[in-house]
Amino acid sequence: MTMSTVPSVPRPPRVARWLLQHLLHADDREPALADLDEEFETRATRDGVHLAVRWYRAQVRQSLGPALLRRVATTDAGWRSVPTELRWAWRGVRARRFGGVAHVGLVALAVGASAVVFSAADSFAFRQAPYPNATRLLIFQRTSPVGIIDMLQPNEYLALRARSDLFSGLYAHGMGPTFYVRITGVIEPVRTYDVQPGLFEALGVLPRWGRPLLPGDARAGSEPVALVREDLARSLFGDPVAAIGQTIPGVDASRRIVGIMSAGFRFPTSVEKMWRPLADVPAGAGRTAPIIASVAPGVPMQVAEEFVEAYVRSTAPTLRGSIGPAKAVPLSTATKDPRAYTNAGAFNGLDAPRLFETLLGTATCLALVVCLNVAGLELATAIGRARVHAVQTALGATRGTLIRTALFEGIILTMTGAVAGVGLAAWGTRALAAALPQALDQILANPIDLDLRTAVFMAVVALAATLMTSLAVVWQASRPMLADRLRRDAPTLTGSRAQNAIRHAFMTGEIALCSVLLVIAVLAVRTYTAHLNEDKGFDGTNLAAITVSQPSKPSRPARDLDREIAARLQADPRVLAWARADRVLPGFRGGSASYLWRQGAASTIGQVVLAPFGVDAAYFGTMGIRLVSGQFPGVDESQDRIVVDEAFARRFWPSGDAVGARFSLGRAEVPGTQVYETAGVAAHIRLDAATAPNGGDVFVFHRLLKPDAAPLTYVLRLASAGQLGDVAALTRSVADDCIVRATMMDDRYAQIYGDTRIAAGLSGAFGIMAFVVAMVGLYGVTAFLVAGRTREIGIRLALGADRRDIRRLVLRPALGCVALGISAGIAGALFASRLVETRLIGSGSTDVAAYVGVAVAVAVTALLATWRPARRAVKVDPAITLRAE
Amino acid sequence: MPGAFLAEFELYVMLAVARLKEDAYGALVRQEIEHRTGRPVSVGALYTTLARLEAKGFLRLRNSKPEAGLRGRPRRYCRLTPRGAEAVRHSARMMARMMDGLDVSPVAPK
Repeated sequence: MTMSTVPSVPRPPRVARWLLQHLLHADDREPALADLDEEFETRATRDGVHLAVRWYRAQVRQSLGPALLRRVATTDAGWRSVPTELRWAWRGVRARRFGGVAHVGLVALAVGASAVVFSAADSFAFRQAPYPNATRLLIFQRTSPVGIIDMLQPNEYLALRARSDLFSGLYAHGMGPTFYVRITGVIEPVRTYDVQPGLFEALGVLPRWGRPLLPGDARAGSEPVALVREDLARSLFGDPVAAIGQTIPGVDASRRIVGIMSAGFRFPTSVEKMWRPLADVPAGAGRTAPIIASVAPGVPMQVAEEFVEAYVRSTAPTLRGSIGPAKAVPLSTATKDPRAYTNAGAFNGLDAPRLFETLLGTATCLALVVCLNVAGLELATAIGRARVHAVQTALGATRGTLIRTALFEGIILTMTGAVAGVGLAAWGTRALAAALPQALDQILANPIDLDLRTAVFMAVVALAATLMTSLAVVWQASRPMLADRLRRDAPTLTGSRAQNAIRHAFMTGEIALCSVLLVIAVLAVRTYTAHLNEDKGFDGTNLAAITVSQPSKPSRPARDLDREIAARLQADPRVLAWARADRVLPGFRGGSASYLWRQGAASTIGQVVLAPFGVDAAYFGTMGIRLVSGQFPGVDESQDRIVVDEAFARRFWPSGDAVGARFSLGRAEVPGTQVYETAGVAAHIRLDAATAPNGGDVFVFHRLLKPDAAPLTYVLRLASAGQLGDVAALTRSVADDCIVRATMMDDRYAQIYGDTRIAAGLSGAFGIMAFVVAMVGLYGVTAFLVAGRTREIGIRLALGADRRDIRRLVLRPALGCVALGISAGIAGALFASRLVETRLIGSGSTDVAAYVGVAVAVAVTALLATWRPARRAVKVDPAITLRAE
Repeated sequence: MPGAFLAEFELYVMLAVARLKEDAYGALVRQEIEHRTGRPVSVGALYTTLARLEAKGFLRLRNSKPEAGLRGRPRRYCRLTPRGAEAVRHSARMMARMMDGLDVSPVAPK
């Protein structure tokens, strides 16, 4: 018996066919598919199945566009014109009332808040150095006890310069002196920066007007010239073009302007407004000037980096101490913090990138809370809409019609919210830029401007959250099953089991995230207040500081000026006390660790950084410095008798015998080494360097100024803080050719906590926003659920249910979610706070009060938010409800 | 004949329908255009154009009875209407006028 084989009939590719079937216009579907099938069979017989399938797929691919256009263009296929769709959707939006307003507000909040934080974070932490050629430039970093520094040793500099095949240019740069100019009658300081000619061209930035700096500008004996920024040129000459060729009217020097950089140009930061030519680095130099190297065209960056690495490894390290080997890092990827390539502010304790990376977490949490809330509200309001959808379906609306209307509704709501959010973000970004402490603003290489990409991203996320839930609801509501249930008067409309589970998950997630944010906010605020309230070691009440800077060629000796100012301060009744000092707290930038020797001892007792403050005898009383032991030196005492810090004394004289101790920084036998005697021990004074990498080892010590010293820096105890302006004006009237700066001591200390203040402010605001959003959402969802279950509640009551049962029916699921959410939130907060533990002061990551407080606050508010809907449920009258049905 | 202008692809479709006469249905029209112009034609583009030409009153479309060889699917037959025939003639006249005495060789750059 032989088996006959039946030749298999070739079939068109299934997926392609399915796609076309669903995309073609209903009128065209059958004949078009018939055409394709007919030709497919012909081709399969003639050319083979493989080619026929390829042909079929190509047909489908090319038909997608025209078929879609036909569906959109025709009105009888369900795709109404866009204005009609929008009009229908607008009706739906209006019918939502509170739900619609809440939706728009929530999206605006999410878009606005996250766009502000992401914009700031982009400026601080993510955006590359703002120079077109940054990817072709290298900087050279080393680790040091004061943080990352940028420097090359002489041999390294020369080795790099010899490889002109690898490096097309090496450019030194560094901080210049302050230039004093008189702008509208007032002397203003202008920070200058020195750059080797060619550096700006290597960065890819040219002056907007005029010419760049040329090698001839830096030669000895050539005319002093400079580039200035547009805003400085405008304030000096009105028109930047007119400024070219002009001489800057410096108080004690002059420079001719040869070029104007655009107003947005920052190198290295926003503070520098004048750039002077720097001469070529001579052989043997290069130890202190930072260098930017331009990699030669065609040379891969990796080759240049490897050359540096190999050279550094092959030469014996000649640097003393704990300074690490140089590492070549591309300017674009090294860091976005200009401190990394200028060595400026290595002691500055602000850690902006890390701060904003932390804040990004909180902003993301807030955005998540909002998205969950939007989704939760959509599901809750869906109960009401489900009935409408079912009626529409019964009247002949297709599932496609309902989905399109829901799509347009979601787009209207989310886009309205997004537009409002962008407005909010624009305002918020400006407000944040204005609120930044000066110290933080100064280190910015990029200005803080609104990052629209974030706003668009957040709007898309919110739209996705809306559409996912609303389309799911429409899909379910338009099922024939539901219409049947409606016809049969289904007993309840609280949604399917899956919907309930999803809604509960959303609610729990929201409460959890809001708890996390609240705990973080409480910890951040406690850290900031702990900073503000910490014992500074002196009485800061109404304490002010005035510094007077004379030009380099002053009109009179400092001593004479000091005498005049002293006479004015003495006679002024607003000044309760005043004293001289050679520096003002909390500023201490610099200093190096020295070996401490007790007199007569054979070896050193340790390494320490001492911050010397030269003061007069009245200083201790004026500042209100707390004496721990010994005494403050009197007017006529020797300058060798000093007052040391309590922490310093405790560390080196743990048995409490610091008073009277004699010590020196370095061996006393070495000529020129000063030996000090401790006259007194004062309370520990907080310096801004204390937050630097090795800041814990920096201590203040006070010694008397020489009798004829005139540091022109004064501390004053005023009758009230409001009098500072008048007292400063009085000082200016005496020192009319000088720069007079007057600040309250509290403000100076607030500056050094700038990052903590921003962290506390933003995370506090985000925590409160998340809390309000979550609680309003909880109320809204519960209220909508009660409204949807009114009939069910009526029936239950009619059947004899107790009012307490009804209350339990409403409260139990809501409060269950709250309890679960709080527990998850506390666990999440414990984890999150460990990540930022090093930034928490005054409260640890396990601050029980913060966790308990947040848990109680969330629980109580959640109870209040659900109580009102529960009360409404209890008051349902079964007779009225059932009659209404 | 104002308002009776035909786009290039529309003209091809009309000419193919005119050539095939009463045998003109979707698959043949598509093949006719591909065969004569060498231009690939997708079924989606063809049916969109057919619908547009019908809306303009240039073609009359009719579905045949479902046929067994086509898994019970109908064919869409097309016929030129008098208005459509006039539109084709008008387009041809316009084309002839545009081409009259025209040398389409490229102009050398100065």
